[in-house]
Amino acid sequence: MKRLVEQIVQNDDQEAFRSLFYELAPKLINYARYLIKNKQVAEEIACDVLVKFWNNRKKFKPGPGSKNYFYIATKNAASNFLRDHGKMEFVGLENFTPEVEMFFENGETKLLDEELKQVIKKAVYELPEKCRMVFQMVKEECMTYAEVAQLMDISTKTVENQLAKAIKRIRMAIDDYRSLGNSRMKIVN
Amino acid sequence: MEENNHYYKLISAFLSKQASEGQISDLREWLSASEGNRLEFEELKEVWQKSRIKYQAENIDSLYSKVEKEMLGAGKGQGKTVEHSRPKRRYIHITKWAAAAVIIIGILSVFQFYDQKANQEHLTLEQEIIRENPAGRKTTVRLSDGTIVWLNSESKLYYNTMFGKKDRHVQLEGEAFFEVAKNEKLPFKVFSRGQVIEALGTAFNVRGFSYESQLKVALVEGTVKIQEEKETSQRSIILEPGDEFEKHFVSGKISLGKLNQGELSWKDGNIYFKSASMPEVFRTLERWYGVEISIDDSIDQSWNYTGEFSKETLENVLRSISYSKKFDFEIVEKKVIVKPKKKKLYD
Repeated sequence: MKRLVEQIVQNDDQEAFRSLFYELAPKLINYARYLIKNKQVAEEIACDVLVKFWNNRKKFKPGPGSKNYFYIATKNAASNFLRDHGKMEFVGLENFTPEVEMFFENGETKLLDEELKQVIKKAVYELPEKCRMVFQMVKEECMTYAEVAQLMDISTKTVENQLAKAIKRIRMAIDDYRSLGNSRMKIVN
Repeated sequence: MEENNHYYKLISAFLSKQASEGQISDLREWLSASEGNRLEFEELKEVWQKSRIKYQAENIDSLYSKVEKEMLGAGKGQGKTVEHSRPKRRYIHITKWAAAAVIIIGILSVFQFYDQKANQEHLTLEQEIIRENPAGRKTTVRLSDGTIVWLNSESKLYYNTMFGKKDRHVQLEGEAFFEVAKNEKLPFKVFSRGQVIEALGTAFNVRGFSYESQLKVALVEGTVKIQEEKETSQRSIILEPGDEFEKHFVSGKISLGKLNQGELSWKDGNIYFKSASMPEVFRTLERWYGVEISIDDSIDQSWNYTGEFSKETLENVLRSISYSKKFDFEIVEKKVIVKPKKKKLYD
């Protein structure tokens, strides 16, 4: 991703922007949806953030400070939206279903067989929303607890607790699966 | 329970590389306390390292077209030169293709591609672009003309900066599946180990691993012409859908048979063996999973194997082959040892 950003900033590379969009937009939509419980608005916010980045690319300085730029910009846009439109409007209106999927690279793992992987995927899918968001940000975006705390408006203690909770749920899912016996476990896709 | 949570905090802090020194030594102590703790940790570590959370947005294409329009609009407004040449080029519409063809090619090691420099048909590599996959990795490449190439592991695709302008020539080592964008003026040609495969708006698979003993071309739809690359040879073969062309380099013979769909399934993540010899089976697995397999001399090497695996782990694949072919194996990191079956005590 760093490379794509550099290509866009230095060479106005439209193809690189396209790749960046396909990679980043779903993540930002997911995050915006966490902040604002509305799919359409979340999509608009994420697209807006990326278009603005393209339009202002000449002023953009890639560097360590820009690591979470897109997430911070999404958060600001969401805050502005909530300030202008109010939060109440959306609460409870939409049943938030995450559009995320867990997958194992190359299919190769030493300790986990196929069925166990399905069990883990299901466990991640069923994590409470906040918990999953923390897990994603720390694990996939390599953010620090403090960065996540800031983006999610929670304390670092909460980040720590939520992450431990995510790990524990996965652990428990594995243990449940083992004690139930493989054959009795039904996997719903 | 409380104490339990403490360890989950330690583990997650460690996995996310945010553990303090104190936490690390606490964790170490807990790990050394029991083998069970160790296994628990190893499993969680594996989940953390080997899994990815994939984000999805099913309407991503339509979102991008909107964004693209906005970008172009903004470019105009500011008087900037934004490329207008390719505003609506989305993913290629497969249905529009005049024909689709599939070619599989496997070629014997003896044949060298590089000998025939005199040939005008040859790639003039002004500025060569190389796409390369190591063992264990497969990728998709989108060429400038809109052609999509699925590149298998341990495979290399060469083309040059003039691709799509003055010709559409690519050179392949290994295996790839091509979905060729239609362009009647510039035929799409794949050069692979002494053969030229020419296609017009087709989809085809080329297999040319240097360790394999024949060249295979299988056509699903459309028309494909195969020719020796040497200028002396004017003979060409035109395939019809469903044909499989095979050139054996040891005997120099050519045969025509029926295409086998299973051989195309690699690009969907499936491994397919059709009475494959033992070396062929293990070589394929090495390439597919990026591992090194050593085989104990004392095991029976004369068997052939037929079977298909869909997105299986290496362990499951080996286990299933080892049942019918009677061997034992051991996987240690990226190395596999294949050895004779031990006599069971209770048999």
